[in-house]
Amino acid sequence: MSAGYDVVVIGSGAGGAAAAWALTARGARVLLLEAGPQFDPARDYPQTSPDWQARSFPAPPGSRAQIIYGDLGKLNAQDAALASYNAVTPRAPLAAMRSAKAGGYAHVLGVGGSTLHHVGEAHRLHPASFALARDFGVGHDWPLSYDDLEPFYHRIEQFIGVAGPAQTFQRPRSAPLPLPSHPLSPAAQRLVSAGPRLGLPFEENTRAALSQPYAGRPACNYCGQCTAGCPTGAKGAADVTYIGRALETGLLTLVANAPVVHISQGAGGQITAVDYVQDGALYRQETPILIVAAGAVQTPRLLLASGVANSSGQIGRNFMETLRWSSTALLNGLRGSHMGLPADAVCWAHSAPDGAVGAIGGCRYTSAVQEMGFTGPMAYAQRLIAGHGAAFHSKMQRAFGSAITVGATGAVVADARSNISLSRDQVDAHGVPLPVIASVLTDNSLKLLRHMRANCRALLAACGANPPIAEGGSWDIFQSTHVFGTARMGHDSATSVTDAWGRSHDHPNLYIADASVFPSSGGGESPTLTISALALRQAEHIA
Amino acid sequence: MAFPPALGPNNAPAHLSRRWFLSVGCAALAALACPSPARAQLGVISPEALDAFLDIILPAHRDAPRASTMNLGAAVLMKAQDSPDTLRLLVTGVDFLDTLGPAPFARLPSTAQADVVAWMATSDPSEVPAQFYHAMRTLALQFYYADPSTLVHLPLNTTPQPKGYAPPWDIGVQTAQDQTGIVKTGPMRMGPRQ
Repeated sequence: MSAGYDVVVIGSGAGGAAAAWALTARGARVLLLEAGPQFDPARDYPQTSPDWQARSFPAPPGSRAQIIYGDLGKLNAQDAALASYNAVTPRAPLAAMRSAKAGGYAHVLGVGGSTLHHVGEAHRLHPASFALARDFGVGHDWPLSYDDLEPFYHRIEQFIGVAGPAQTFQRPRSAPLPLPSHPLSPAAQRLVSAGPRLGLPFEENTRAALSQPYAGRPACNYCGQCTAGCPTGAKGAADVTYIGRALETGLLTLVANAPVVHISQGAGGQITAVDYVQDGALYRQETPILIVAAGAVQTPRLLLASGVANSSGQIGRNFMETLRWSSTALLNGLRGSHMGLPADAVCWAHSAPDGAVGAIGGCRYTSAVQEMGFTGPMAYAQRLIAGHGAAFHSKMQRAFGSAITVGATGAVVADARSNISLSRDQVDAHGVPLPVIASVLTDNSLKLLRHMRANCRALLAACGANPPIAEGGSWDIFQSTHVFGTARMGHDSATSVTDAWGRSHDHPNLYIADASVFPSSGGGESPTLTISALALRQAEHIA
Repeated sequence: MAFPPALGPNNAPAHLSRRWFLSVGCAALAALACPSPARAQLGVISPEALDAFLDIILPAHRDAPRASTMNLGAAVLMKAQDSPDTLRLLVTGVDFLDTLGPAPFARLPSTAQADVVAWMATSDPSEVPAQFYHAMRTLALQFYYADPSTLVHLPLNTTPQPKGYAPPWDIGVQTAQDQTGIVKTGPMRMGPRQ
């Protein structure tokens, strides 16, 4: 197949889609290969079905990758207080090993990638997270600074339409956000009121959800189903923002259901072509420039399987999941907690690398009742309100709408036991070895989890809530959408995969534009905005 | 835990062991292992027992009818076929219900039925009765709350779209524990609008 394209991009999530947009805006002809399908919001997630409470983001064929889970770490009984539980399900005996059965790597294959099912937070990393090794003696440093990235954060926020306050705690902003904050939901209002008493002030979260009509998309109508898919386009997912605009230029060719199975290299380390499968046929596409943006699991998988870009031996290493914890309680007098924008209030007080006492990395707290799914009575009945009969109906009538959840998200520091590798004996339908995720919580992670749990509970108590009745997190269940680090950037080609522009040290025309390049995971922030900002910066460097 | 006296002294689940449950379930499991079109069609399941069980779980409430009127038993039966383990549990559990006392479960007095279900709810979670209770409750609830009549008296749209929830949102009465004195009516917005 002839070239015809200036750049080939693999993956259409936050990184690949932003790259395609930025490159086509500068006149480049771009081929965007996406492994998964193209979703139709009106058909796939209209949020109008009577059984909506039983639905999550749809999983049509080809939209979920096969993942193998390796070592996820042992569970030590002395940490059993960190076990996940709820008020309805009988507690099972403590397992010996952490499991992915109730969670796993939550990644959507499809046009828009995981932005299709993410809640839509738009976070800037804490400036201190860029120098973890230099300033805190752990992990790895970024080869760029917050100030280097700030202009690109601003431009992405302007383009996709981010709503939020004038300033964000400890994340300086050169210009205001384009949209005002959303009104605070009932649960968030309680946290905003209570947080200061604990030194944990909440502020409006910066959200890629429109608080007003913007760029031809409507304002959010607060249906609360962001993670089940946004049918209105108010959420700034990659398909309705970057890809839509890139297609308008006429310079983007988007091919869905086209998994790439091999990357070829030629003389001088040039990446010469990619092979991809579409409708059962194998195609070869020449690659003057190749950007790989398949995420921190699939990108290292493809690179390892193709035998490229790994002179440092770092591909697949430094895998970082995201620590999570949530505590849910019922709050007498609270009503309507299912209403409003999910994750609309956030506390950044502990998000600096040294923000959490006794642990390095940092964490943040969010009003998470809707994000945890408590938007309908079915979720209450499954996790918060036990029993049956007339008594159950009475409890539901009294309690529905009174759930309040504090969620915490925290950093993981890279560890040698956590990595992505290739299966030795299992391959996918196209013969590509399946990825194996190994992710073991370190002592630092356990300390941070305990810190997160303690503060989530304290916040609920400060709100006047009853004791928590549903809690849990990363200790016993591996569940992560945000993963990082498996092709990290750095100045030294001996210890990193790409340079500060995301360009491979080994191949002059190979770039990576996803969270694989993150040397650190930040302090619990959502990485989406950072991924897109890096991709924009990279694209303008290329073009 | 004492067993409901209505079912007689020889049927005391408090003394039942895994061996007893296996003896009850073995016949059902053995039959399940044998290829049978009838079994494949769930012909051996007593729908009356399942309906009666689910009516205890989800009785009529306000505008919503009881489970059997909503045909939740049939829905649960169909859904159970998606998982061999769930199907096996359903068969075993229904057999358990029907062999508890002198009459099939559906023909027991309602008070006895209620006592049985209450006992199952809090019995050993590693045993069939508790597993059956929780599994059937979970399945039934998925279908129950898909019926708009069950949502009428909750402050909830029947579906999230197309209406959504426009602010302001009712946040309830300010409690005595909230000391900040911030006005609670209407949406709260922090800081000046941009």
